[in-house]
Amino acid sequence: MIKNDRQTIKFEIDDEILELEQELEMSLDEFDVEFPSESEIMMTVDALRPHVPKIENKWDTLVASVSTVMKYSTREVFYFSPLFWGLNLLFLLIGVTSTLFYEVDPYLIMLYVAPLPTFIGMIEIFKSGNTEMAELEMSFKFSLQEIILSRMVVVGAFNITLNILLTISFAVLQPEVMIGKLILYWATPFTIVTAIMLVVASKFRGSYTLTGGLVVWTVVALFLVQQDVMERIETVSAVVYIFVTVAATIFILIKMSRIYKRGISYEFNR
Amino acid sequence: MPEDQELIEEILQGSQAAMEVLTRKYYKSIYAFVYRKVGNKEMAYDLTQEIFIKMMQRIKSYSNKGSFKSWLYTIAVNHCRDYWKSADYKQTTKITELQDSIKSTNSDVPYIFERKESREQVKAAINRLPDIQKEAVILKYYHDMKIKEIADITKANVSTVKSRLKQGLGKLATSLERGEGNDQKRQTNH
Repeated sequence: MIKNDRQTIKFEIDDEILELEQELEMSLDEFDVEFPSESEIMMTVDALRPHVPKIENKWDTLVASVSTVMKYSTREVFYFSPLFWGLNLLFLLIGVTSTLFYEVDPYLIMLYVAPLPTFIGMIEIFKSGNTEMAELEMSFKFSLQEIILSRMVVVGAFNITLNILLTISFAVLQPEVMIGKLILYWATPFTIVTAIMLVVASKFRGSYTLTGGLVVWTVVALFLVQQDVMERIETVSAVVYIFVTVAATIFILIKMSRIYKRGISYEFNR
Repeated sequence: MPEDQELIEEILQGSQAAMEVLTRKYYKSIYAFVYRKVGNKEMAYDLTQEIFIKMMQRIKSYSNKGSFKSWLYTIAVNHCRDYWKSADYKQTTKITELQDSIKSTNSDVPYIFERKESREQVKAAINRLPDIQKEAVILKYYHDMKIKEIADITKANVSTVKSRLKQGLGKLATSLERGEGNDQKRQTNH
């Protein structure tokens, strides 16, 4: 083994080749490469898709995909900016204090606050051009769609946790509130706004979209909290809320699965 | 590289994302190798795509013995060799030569820029090398490979690779010193 290594080293050191290389260095460097465009590379990637081995059992594929995304999600948590965590905790605090000290209707607060973490989360999800995400992509260890999907899972999970915390806080502080109604008041706007944001962000990727979304949502919420509108909303059957929530959730799941399967370039750069 | 192995395992599990990551990781280096070998953008693009398709079709047979990079380069080298022998190559060469000659006659100032001129000179000089010397030179110089690595990829022994390199680089030096690539282009131009 050592003898072989020695032989290789002996072979590797060749003055003649080295001299020739040094002599030609300037000239050979001139022969640069005209690389294909990003869309052309993507076409090759798409051409490879049918050749990826398929797992016979669909359940195994699902479990494998979910476990990969979950694994990446735990790593992604550390890449979220403190602003994301800080703002979301601020929303929670505002929610609790406004009902406790200013006697604002908890249902209204729930309705307004519920989708806010989604907006902030979207900023985190799409900050692809900068720092860590670009580094991760450049490291070639992770694909962009995996990073985005993992971040969506983090945002979604944190959002739901936050809303559950808010619901528990209201239930403890104001025992008269109906928990079921409270859940519907956050689940419906949360799922609708997330579904809309996924569609909008597919077309217009950028922080201005998210800022715009935040402004639009505030206007919508201000409209919804008007007395007569609120009365009308309260007359709507719970079944309708449940139906809308379920429909929006299905839409979100389909959209996310398309992002994972087809790749982010297809979904977000069309 | 452990990352390659992880990606391959995920691909074998049916992961499209892992396939994309692995392809993107090696795309540019394989393309650069093919491009310098064939000297034509469109042809290099098509051949690179075919190489990656072959990679995907054979990924189940990849054993973890050697590095994935060497395995992929072996596919690339063999694919280019096959293409060289094929009827497609002969056909395309005729068309490319014809297109080049049309381009050259149509252009009034084709070699105004010195840099472009010397690039074309190097390209022509490399192109004139015999295939086996060409691939050894490209892998050694542009891909920074060790002689042993080139020997594994090209299925030759170390001393053969050394001899190919010496001959190839020697011819290049002589050719570039004389400015043959340049002369040849000018001749085509007139």
